[in-house]
Amino acid sequence: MIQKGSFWVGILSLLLALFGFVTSAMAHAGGTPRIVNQPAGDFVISVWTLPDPVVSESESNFIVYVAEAEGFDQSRASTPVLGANIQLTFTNGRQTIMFPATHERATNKLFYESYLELPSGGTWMVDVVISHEGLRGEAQFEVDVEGDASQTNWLLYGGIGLIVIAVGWFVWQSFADEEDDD
Amino acid sequence: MDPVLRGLLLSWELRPVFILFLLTLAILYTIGWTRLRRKSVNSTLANRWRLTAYWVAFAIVIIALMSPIDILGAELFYFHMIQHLLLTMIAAPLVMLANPMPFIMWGLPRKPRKRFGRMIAWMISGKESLGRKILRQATKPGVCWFIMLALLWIWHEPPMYNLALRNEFWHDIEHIAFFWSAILYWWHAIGAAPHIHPKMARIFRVGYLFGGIPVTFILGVKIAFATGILYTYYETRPRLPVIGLSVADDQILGGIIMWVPGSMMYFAAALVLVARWMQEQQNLPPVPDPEWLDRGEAAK
Repeated sequence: MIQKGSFWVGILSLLLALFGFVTSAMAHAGGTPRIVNQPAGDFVISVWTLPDPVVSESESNFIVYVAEAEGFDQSRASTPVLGANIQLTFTNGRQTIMFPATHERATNKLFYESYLELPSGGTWMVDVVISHEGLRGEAQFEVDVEGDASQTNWLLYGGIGLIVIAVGWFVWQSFADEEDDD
Repeated sequence: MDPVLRGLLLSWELRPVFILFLLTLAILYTIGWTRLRRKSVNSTLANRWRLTAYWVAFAIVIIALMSPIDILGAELFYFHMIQHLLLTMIAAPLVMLANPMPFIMWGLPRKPRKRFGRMIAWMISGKESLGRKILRQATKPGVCWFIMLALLWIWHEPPMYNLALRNEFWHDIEHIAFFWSAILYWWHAIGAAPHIHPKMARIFRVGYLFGGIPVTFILGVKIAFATGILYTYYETRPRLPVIGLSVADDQILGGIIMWVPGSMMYFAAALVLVARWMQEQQNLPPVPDPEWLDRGEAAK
């Protein structure tokens, strides 16, 4: 029989190793491009979304980049517009919801970000309105939102499950052999 | 200060849970290091440079994963290459140089330490079983080298790389693959604990390190000299001022970073091994005169 304490130390080591394994990544992704370098009044804007696909009733991230339209050339460095007011308006025919996008929420401080939860799946029309020092711009795009039932990431759970089983087996084996020796 | 530069320098993504996890390991390491240093007579295991290597690796992981280097990796290929080099070519070998297993184990309280020790002892010299056999075969030096090569090359295929840039989940998987395959590779190259396999002779370790050069060299050259844009995702990102390049120039620079500094790290590590070996040879006692050296004594 395996000692109870030894087994739990094994399990604890396994969980710690797994946590380290997962947190060693913590990557920053750019998101799915929705509109890229689209002229919007006095500005040129780009929008990306995370995750892919956007799922209802769970947090999604809308990332906006605003550049000055004057002299814009997409192959060359653009001048970002900083400190603008950005409003995202979501409509699906039945509901209208508004969220601001700000530098404060953004990881890259040259961008604007909004973290939000959309209440239901289906196609939503997103209206982006930018205002800055008397200038204004507006752009629209559609985003397909999946219902929350489909958000289970079986690939992730399957992968983690396999690692847990494999490492757990090794831990078990090590203690089983030790007991045999005793 | 230029507002754009200021914005870039302020772009940090601090993750308290991750910092806490790393800090816990670093504290365990430091406690274990102190205990082993007190125990050992000449402190060969608990060297000061091992402790320094661990804390420097800790700082590099934080910088690579939370500083503007991480944020800009989503905008520019060359920043992404710098991030990967920091993780796989600097942090991973430093972690292995610090030989974390014994120190973290000795950082644990007595009871869990003993149990953890028994588990490690099983890995090293336990009864021959299927589990041990699989573990030994799956972590042979050649297998670890191949895992590193395969993962690096597969993840730099444009569809895979573009997917990782777009999707956080796949980006996480990519970083896990790079960091842990590098840890496995450097584990053999440096000869850190646990010693599941017999430690490679120094000459083989030098060869093993030279074997790492083509892994990044070929891939770096392929990217730097590619005729078109490989990673089209970057075409959807804005060209930022101050640090921005055109997508094509960015790709060339990223390829060169992987090719030159990427390969140089293996070369430098091999040179260090050779230099240490030569130094050890110098410190050996003088060899007595060979018997074949005829000094005319026989004739006397």
